[in-house]
Amino acid sequence: MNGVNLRRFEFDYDATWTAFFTDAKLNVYSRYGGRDQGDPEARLSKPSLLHTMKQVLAAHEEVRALRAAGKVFPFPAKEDDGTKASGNEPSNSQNSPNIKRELLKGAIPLFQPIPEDIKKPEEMSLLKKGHQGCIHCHQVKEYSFLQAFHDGRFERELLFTFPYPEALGIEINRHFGHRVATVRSESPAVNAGFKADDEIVQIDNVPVRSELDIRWALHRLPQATTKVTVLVRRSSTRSTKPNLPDSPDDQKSSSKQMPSTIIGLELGLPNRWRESELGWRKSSRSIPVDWGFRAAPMTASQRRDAQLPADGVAIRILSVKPRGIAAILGLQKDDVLVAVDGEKRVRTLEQVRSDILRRFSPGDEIRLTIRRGEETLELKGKFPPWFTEETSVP
Amino acid sequence: MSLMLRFVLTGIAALLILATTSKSVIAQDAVPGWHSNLTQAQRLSEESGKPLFIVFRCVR
Repeated sequence: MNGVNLRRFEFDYDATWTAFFTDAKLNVYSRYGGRDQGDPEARLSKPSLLHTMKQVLAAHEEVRALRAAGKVFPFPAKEDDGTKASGNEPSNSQNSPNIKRELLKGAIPLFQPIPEDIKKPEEMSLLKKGHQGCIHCHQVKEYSFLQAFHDGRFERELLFTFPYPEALGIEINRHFGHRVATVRSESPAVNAGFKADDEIVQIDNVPVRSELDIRWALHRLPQATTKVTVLVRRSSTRSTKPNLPDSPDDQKSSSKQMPSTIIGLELGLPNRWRESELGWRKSSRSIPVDWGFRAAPMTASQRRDAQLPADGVAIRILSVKPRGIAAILGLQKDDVLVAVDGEKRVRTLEQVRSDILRRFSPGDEIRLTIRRGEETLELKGKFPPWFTEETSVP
Repeated sequence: MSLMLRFVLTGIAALLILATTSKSVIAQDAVPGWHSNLTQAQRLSEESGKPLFIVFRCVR
């Protein structure tokens, strides 16, 4: 299929499976899918998909009714008739004092915002030159890295996309999709006033009908954003077993108007909140870093022979080039990496590279601990500027 | 009615084909109920009044 506008269908290109729910004009109701470093399907579930589908169908019927009445998108905001509070008045006393109060007025948006640059497809000359025909999703992201570097605009923030709600202290109920299962203590979420069983319904101006909608809403926030308004639906009756799937009776009753209130919460976004594990991402191989070395994890028997612990990092350097991070740090062939900035837990090579990218930026002092023969050495050196010679993706 | 029947199902499976070539290639083997041509699926959505369920399946 040719000519897919990826500005409209922006998704996490390292994911295994992503779905969009749209109208015939490709206005997006919701996104569904996504994954993390674990099981590719861990964030997916039949109940949550069905829940999202039902919400989409309800929104679609509303759109059809509006269009039948002659309205065109973007639809005019509804009067504040309390529909957001399911018949109850919004409980202002529970709202965070600094939320965007205009978001509490009118109904939850039917469609997700259309990206501003949708009419200007991203110019990816390297992709057009280096690739013909079919392309894997992760290769799209890889080409975007290469293109950004060769255009002189690559920055560290491009690495961390589609942030996870856990980064802000919110564990999601996987059977529901956008309902809070638990709130981590000492987190931005607990500070904002999130509670277990809160149903996240809107983040900034993005309607939320799935976990991936949460992640997309967070992803599209400008980098400098320090706080965001989140609307949650809070029931007056709370489940005693938030992590279990709703029973068929619960699902039927949830379609009825349960007593609930729409609450506005102000979620603070701490420094580097977007960052997450990069090692599982296939696209990470095209991040423009001149590592200057090849390496591989040691096997269990190799660790024993080298008297290295079984539960620590043990990455053997196989070869080095006279440039890049290897040269800056003075890495040598057969060195064994045993800690990154003091972190010693067992890691794959990709995870070690992820750890380095999460801890250090160009210009920062990198700190690695290595075993060289019988000696343990601390290597230090400056993280070099972004660099790659690659102009195509394998 | 099965929930799935209330959507026009569109699969962009395995590989994503971008406008990098003049060739017209269908990315997914035909699966009953699923469409692999987005334009046709949009037309069907408009005619039937059903929303679209568009899947990007990325095989590594």
